[in-house]
Amino acid sequence: MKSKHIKKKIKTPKISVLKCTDIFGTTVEFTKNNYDKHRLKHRELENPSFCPARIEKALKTPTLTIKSQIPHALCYYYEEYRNNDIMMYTKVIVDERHRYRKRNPICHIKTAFRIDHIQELKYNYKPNHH
Amino acid sequence: MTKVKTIELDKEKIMRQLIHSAKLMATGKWRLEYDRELDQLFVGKKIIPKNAFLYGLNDEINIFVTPASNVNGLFIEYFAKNYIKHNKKLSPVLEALAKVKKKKDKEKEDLAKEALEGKLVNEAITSVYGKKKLVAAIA
Repeated sequence: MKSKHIKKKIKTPKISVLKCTDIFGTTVEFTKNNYDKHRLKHRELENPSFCPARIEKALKTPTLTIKSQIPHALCYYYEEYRNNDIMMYTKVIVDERHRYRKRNPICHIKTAFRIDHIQELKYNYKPNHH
Repeated sequence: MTKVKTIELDKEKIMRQLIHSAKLMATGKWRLEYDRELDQLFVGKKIIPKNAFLYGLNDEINIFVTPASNVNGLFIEYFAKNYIKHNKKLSPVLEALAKVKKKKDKEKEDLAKEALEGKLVNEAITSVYGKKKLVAAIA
């Protein structure tokens, strides 16, 4: 029997914790797999006002975007608040490898967290203000 | 509108904990984790408390600290692309961290980690010491 030897590959669907369209019109997804990798370290991820709400805001209306030192990655920064010279940003690192492909263009969130500075500016990367 | 308040962190307390952190790393109470994909290094508690936030000590090192000045870990972005480039002596650490663990590499890896931990802690302490005040804004 031929069918005995055919192994069907069953793809388990990726569960996402966030899926939205970013400022550039591309679908951006945060898979549960990536989320779980970072949620015990960046605990803000477990707060619904941060994930998905604040991350979505950072993707749709970022204060600035800046190229990451990691290949094919873009960082979205959203200024949450400032007090004198102290700032707090939501930082979202997005893998944009599949942004420009013709079929089903999509970007994936690598991680997201709160941080008080823009690291990439230290390497003279030019930000794009939105 | 988000209500923001400025807090002053306890410099002495943070320094004391950073000195003690070398011991925490050595005894395995703090874990060392390198994310090759994101080029990020994390050393700290397995579970960071919910009220901890990232506080930048210098151009490279951030600490996970709570408003009560409890240090829970250290965090470096662009570890290989930036930090290691400035600290070439530490490049074996990267090899050890990125490598698939084999038993024979264990000793080498431990030595490399020890060197990194020492360097990290020293730098963090120097940065804290060099600051007049440690001020953060929390919402």
